Amino acid sequence: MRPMRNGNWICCRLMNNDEREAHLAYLQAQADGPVEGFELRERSLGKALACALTGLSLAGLGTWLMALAVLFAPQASSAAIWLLSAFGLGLAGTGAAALACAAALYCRHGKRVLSVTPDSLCFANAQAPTPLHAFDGFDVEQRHFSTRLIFTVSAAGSAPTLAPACFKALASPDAVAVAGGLRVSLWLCTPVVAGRHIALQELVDLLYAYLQAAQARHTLAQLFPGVARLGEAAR
Amino acid sequence: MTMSEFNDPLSELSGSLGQEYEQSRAAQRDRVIAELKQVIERVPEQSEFTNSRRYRVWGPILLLGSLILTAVCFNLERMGAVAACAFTVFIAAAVTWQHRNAGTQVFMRLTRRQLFVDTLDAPVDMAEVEDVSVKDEGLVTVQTLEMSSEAVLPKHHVVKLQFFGNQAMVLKKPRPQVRIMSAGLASNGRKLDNEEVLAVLAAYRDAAHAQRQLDLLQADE
Repeated sequence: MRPMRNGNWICCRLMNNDEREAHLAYLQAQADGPVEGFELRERSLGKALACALTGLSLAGLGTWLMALAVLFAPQASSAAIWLLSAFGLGLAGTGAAALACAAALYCRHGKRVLSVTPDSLCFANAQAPTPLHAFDGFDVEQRHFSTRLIFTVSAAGSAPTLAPACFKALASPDAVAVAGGLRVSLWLCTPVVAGRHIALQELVDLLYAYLQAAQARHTLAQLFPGVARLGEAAR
Repeated sequence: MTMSEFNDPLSELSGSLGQEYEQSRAAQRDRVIAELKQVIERVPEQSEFTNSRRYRVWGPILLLGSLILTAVCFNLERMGAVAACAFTVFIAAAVTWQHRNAGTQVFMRLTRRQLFVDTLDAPVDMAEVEDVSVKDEGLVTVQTLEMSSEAVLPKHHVVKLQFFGNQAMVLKKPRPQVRIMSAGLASNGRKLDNEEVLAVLAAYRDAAHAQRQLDLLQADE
């Protein structure tokens, strides 16, 4: 997905009356965005289940191999026993890690990833909502097992204060600031809005509508304060 | 808020609007300049990049592994296998030797207007960069800068016989682009991941575009 750009800079050149009105009309049309907010939640039950099953089978296989090693210890050569138990231990360890992942994914299920209102956006680990016009654009990246959201912070805005994402970040959809706050990124398993799974393109369109409207309102407030005030009154 | 609600007050406004606009134009101009400066000053005046110490770590490990393999396979009756092992030893030794100073030599420099790479004969104008992408599949990091079609492209020279060395490539087709390859990327001794590289490159590109806008604006005066 391509990020969108803030078009504030075009306004710096001299405009004649027609251009100005066209620009005003354009901004007004853009500013007319969604009215209600939404919450983006995460669904990860399926992946947690798959992870748990894999973990269980790996751990079971590992334990079985180790049990075999104990069983055959008197008869077989010591090298074979070592090999068997090391392999079993490795498998059991991998299985335990997979089970831990499954537990973390289970914790993530149903958690709030983003709450978006027409003017602000709040990350799961942010203390306060960030105004939407603080973002220039966003990227949505579909990976094999997850969806990644990357927001580009505009020069005028500042990245939100985020609680540090540590190891626990696996268990909750926390956002992290990238490159000293130039971007904010987060990943989630399956995006869900209002209890319904939404496809990548739908998610892009949804976020785009909010961001575009918020930016247009912001630009409007800067360039045509009178109209923006009227707009506030009309809302 | 719908358009119909909006149109009514607009008609009476449009007369006074022109005035308001003219009056605020000077203020706007200052604000735009301030905004452009914000974009420019968001990135440091200059950033220097080296490759990461990836192969300084993996080179010796690879060398040790291939030496052990050679020792295990050593058998004068099977010269083919020994030769293959010796070849891997040679490659691993070469990688280790070539990357002995990895992470210390600056090969790429970004300023608010230009990008300098050792193997390019001229700097790349960052304001001509349209899109950036970064890819790393474990061996080398590839940064691709998509250039605008009217950009003046520099020429690259190939560093021969370098394993995972710092290279740059300028392609004219299918689209003009500059590719910079290196074994990872680090800045001030800190390794950068793909996302960070992308964020930094994009921020410098924005700064260069803003700088160009600012130059144009100030030339108007």
